[in-house]
Amino acid sequence: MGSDRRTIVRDICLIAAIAAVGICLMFILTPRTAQGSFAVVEIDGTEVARYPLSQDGVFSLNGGTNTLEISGGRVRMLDADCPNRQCVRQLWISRMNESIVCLPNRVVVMITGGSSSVDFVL
Amino acid sequence: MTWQSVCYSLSVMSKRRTLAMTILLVLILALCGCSRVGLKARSADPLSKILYSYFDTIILVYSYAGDDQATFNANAAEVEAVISDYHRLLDIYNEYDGINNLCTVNRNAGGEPVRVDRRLIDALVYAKGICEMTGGKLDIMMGSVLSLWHQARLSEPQCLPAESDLRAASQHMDLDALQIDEENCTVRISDPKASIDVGAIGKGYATEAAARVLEEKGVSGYAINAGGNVRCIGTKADGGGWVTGIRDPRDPDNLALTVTISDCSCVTSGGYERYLEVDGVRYSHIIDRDTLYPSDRFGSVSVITRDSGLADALATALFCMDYEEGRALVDSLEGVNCIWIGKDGKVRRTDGI
Repeated sequence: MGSDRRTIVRDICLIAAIAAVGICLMFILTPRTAQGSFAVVEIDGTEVARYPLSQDGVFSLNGGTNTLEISGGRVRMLDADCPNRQCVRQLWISRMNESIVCLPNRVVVMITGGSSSVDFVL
Repeated sequence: MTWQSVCYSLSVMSKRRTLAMTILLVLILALCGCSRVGLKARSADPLSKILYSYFDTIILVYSYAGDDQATFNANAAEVEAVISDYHRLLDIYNEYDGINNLCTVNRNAGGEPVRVDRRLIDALVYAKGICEMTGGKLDIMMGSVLSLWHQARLSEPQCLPAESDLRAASQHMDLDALQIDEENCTVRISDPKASIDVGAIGKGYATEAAARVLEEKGVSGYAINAGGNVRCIGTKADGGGWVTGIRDPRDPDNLALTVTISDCSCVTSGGYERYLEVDGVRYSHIIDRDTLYPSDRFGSVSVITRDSGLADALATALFCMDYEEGRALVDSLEGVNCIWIGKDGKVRRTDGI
């Protein structure tokens, strides 16, 4: 009987150990992209900021030339000081690889990460 | 825990325990399996490079080929070199040291023939051929009219061009005024008030040229997105295509449909892209050469065909044609598929997609 109880204890230890290893492996192997999408801001080809789409907010870019808005998982250019304001007139973006461009100020906002099933949006 | 103890545990296990253990193992394996799928998705994330300086848009070069950064950088540099060359050759607003481009040709309209690069001759011959194929709906000699619309878009506040100015300018858009001498590599515009504008085809033509450079090197798994003009080279590394979403014109934040493409181009002309807004009315940037005003026939027209230059040109031409007329044109061409989305959201498409 005593050896039976020892077996149960060992079983529980074994199960706990396998479960622990499994859970650890899951965290190690799970890609970071699963954490969600980001709006990546590039100015003249250099990444300067990265905002999670999960957090609403209004952000000043490039020393104030452009203003970015994130709301409900979508991104748009709220304001810009460029002459034709083409970027402000662009649509909201939310899917991976979608971008908003302000060519005069060389500001690009691009969505990365997330689990979009669409590669391009036209 | 030692290996011996594991073996011991297994050997004394009751049937119920065996079942419990099996379920647990399956669960763990399943979790690891899920992670593997996720891991694969991450390794397939594309490498990308943004080009800022060409064709008044951004051009993105992607590799889904799973190649290393150095290989990608070299390939992206080749793409940029080709696009940069065509950007200069086809530019109608600026001239560059050491080359005669379309701006030079336009400036010399009515004068002597201008000697140009062989690639510009080839581009113009190609573009002229497409103009003829579309029955003149696509017209690269509309510069006089398009420049009025261009100024209107840039003015602050935005305004429409005067009707009388448009009518006057339309007297100077004749494809025959474009004289291309292929033998001597010269171009001349016979009408001093006429000018070339390849806006509807230049970006697509340059993208195609860049794609072919990669194809000749045997590259596959790349995609070039030139401001909404997508050209895919081969397939992704996993053999799949690129899922391309076409917006719903009534609600452009949402997609009307998706098409999966590989080894081909997809170009969409839509009223929601670039537009001019006057008194709350939006005017698309696509000007119908017969009315001289923006076309509002469709919500959007998408063309799917291998050649990016043809796709670009046809998307513009079809946007200015009735469905029946456009459908007849498309049906007469080999390997071209189209999707027309009406302003009411109605989707019509060719049989190949």
